[in-house]
Amino acid sequence: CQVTPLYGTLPSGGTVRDDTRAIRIEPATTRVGQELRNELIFAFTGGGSAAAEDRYSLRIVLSEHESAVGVEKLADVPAAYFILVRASFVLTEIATGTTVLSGSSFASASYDFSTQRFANLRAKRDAEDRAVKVISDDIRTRIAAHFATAG
Amino acid sequence: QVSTIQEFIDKPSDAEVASDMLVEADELIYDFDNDRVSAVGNVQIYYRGFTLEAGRVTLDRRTNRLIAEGGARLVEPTGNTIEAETINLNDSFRDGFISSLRVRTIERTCFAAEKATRSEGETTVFEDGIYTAYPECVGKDGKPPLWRIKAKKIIHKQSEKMVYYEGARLEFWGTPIAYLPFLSHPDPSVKQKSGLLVPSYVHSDELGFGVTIPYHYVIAPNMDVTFAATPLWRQGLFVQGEWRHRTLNGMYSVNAAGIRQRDPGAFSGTSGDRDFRGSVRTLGEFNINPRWKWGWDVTAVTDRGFIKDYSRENKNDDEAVSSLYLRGIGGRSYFDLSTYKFQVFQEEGTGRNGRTGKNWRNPAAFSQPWRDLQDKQPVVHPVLDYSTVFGKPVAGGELKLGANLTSLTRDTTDAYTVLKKSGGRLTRFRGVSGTFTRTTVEAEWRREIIEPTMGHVVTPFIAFQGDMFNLSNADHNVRRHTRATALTNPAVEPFSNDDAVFRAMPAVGLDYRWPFLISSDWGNQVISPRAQIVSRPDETSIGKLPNEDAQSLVFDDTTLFDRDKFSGFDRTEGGTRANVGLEYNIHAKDGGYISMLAGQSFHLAGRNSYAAPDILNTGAESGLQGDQSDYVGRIYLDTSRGLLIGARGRFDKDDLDPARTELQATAFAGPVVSTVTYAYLRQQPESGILDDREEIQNATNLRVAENWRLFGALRYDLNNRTLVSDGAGIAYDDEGFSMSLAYAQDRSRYDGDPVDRTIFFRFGLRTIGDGQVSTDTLD
Amino acid sequence: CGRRGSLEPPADAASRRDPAVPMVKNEKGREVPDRPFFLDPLL
Repeated sequence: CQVTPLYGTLPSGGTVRDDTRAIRIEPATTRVGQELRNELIFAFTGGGSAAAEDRYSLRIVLSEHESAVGVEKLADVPAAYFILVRASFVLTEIATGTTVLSGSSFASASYDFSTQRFANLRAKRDAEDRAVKVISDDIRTRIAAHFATAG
Repeated sequence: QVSTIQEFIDKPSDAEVASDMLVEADELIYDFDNDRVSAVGNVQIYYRGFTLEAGRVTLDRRTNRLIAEGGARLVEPTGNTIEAETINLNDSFRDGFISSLRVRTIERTCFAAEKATRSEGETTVFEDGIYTAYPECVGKDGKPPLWRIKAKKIIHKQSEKMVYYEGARLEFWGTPIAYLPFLSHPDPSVKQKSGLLVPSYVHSDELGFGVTIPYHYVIAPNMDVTFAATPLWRQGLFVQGEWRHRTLNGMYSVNAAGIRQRDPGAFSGTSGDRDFRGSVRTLGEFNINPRWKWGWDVTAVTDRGFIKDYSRENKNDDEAVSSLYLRGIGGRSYFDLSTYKFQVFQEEGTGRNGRTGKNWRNPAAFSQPWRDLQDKQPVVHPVLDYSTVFGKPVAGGELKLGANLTSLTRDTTDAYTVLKKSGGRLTRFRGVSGTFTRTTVEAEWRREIIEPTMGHVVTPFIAFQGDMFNLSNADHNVRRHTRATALTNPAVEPFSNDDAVFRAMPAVGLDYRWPFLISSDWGNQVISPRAQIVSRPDETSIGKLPNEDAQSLVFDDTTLFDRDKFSGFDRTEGGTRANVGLEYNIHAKDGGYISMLAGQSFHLAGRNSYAAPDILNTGAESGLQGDQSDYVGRIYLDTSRGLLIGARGRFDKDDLDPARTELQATAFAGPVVSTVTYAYLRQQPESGILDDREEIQNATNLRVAENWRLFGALRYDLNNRTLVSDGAGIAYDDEGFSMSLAYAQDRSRYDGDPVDRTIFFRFGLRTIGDGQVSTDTLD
Repeated sequence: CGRRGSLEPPADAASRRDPAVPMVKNEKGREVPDRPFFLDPLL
């Protein structure tokens, strides 16, 4: 096996970003889905413009599950909540329609219970964003590693 | 040999278009004496959308009947297939009787009978027939199916879409268990039909034994009502009603439930100790266009415990959140304008002398922590969230803009008192009474630059957040108390006297990664050191301002590289801070993956926002209060062969003593699916949490036989060594029948009873009646 | 016995739709008119 910088120059001359800039991500229908999509677009383009013509399409299916933890006898309320976000993704090459890479990733974040229920609502929103950032990093690294080795 | 034998059939009398009847067969025999013609040898006839297959088909010109013999099979235009020994149809296939036939409908149900006649294409009468929801009509290897209805006569009326039975009896595995003198049900193709739904059975200590009998009434294809009466042995008649109405662009529902309790004493000591109890919940969602929708979800209850005591779906919620919202999602922008009201389910007095440790009493000016739990909840009018990312790069990078407006009013101050390590008491406030509005705009520019030769990834960023706080009729006791506390405790700032406070937090920083790829034939490994440095001025007015949306501060692997580790806008991280960590991922080609991260955060200069107490001591003992933070780490594992583990933790910077450890694992091996959740949360006395909390939860689902499964769940408090809740059950599901019996025990409720026990049983015969009254789903 | 399923759109839905406005499926698979909304510029 050989050790190379993931974002170094590839034998083909470019870097993995030349491929990731050409990934189109399906529009999201939920807030959490859009948060993940925005993070991935930045990861793929570094903030610059996307490739003139999309060569790949990325489809992601998200699911979220919340569970209460630290419920004590006669306490009626939990100590904290876990947010678990699961994402399965499929990267396909538009020209041939073949699946380039697929997989599933997950991440979870927790927030502490407060007697103020509005604070819990906002803390849950923040926990969702945090879990989505971890998933974005994971998917981005997998795709980059794929282009770095497939190249 | 294809030939049209159209000329042998008179033109159909009625105005139907005379379409050709195509016949395929090995041989055609013409019998001129009896004026008959027979097609013999795997005959196939296509006529007006019907397909008839048989060994032999004879057309009798004199009686104008078509007789198919030798295992005939008729597929109707609707897709239903009829298999029979002989089929005797008139020329237009509409009528005719079929002997020893089986009709398999496209809804995968089955009628079978010795003899059946169909007249005017409308009424099919099966003699000595059976009906079941199993498409093959019989169970495995010919045995009778799990359930079927046997009847002298089964009459199916096409236009009415109804099935009527005469002398019917319900049989399980072939043995009759119930005689149903008059039974009728909508034919399988019907989605909505008025009538009784399948009853379910419930038993609990406080309610007694009860049978829920739901009646469904369809007003129109887009409007229906479901009533459910549940006579309860101990509490009397519990009634529920759900109205659903689908309009042009959306749908709304209204759910009401109520009871006049015969034995309120069962709930003595709680808010449920009253005669009449009930709740109303209405849900609505309407699409303005594909990007915008608005709606509501409003709940009203007579008392806090009602939903937890009587509802089956929302039993383990902690509160009912009522909201009215307008939401828009498009490309890279998001808009949400919502108002909120909260109905607390927690009983007064919870936590006073409960196991969660003795709460110190508040100074007399403030309500005690276990009192007025409902009045301490704010009404949020509104909260507006808006964020957008510029489509085109700005200076080569991504520019993100956001805005948030939060305006709320609270009647009673939510105070708690802690014993400080340095001795003496400190009273803090999770919510100050008054009306508070914060208007925030934020912007972030970032650009990820790849240095191609060595693969360095450098991300400079600039960010700004500006907040305008407007405080009106804040609780003067809080102002007075915090002013007095500030005299003796310089770190504490007095709550602001001004009506408006402005705050700004510019930030500039750099994020650096250097990921290395080790690729081998079985998979890839990526090792990535990461460092981030952010430089900002000090956070201002920390103790002066309310904190409504940044109360939870969890320092773990997900917040390690957050530019601002607070969970909301009310607090902004200040000073200069460095976050460092090492990430290691393994992705195997077979789908398995391991992801590990470890790191630490350093406060380099300026005022450490996590060391300064705000109005509720957020961040006290969060692990970030020192210049050197605790260590945080995570390990995620997915073998893609049935094992999924996610573990995270924060460990003390000096002695690595765990301060917070969380683990979630799911394993599916063969028939077993089991999830384990473990959490250890060390006490945070300075934030009013006086006890460690350590808990393990498990939920297991075991497939015992082909359609049978056992399920169980438990929640065990390791710290106090008590079983908080447990439950178990058995369920059967197959093509035509479902049944579930569940038993649960819950000791977490502060409702005067040491344990609440409930048993619930329901069953459903598919297509006969399997509706459930649900209180919170729209469609 | 009765049966409880998901509701259909109102019977006269087709006639009340404005033919000029194109119909688009939303994330729940329901037909939704794609007419402009005054806050659209924000997205």
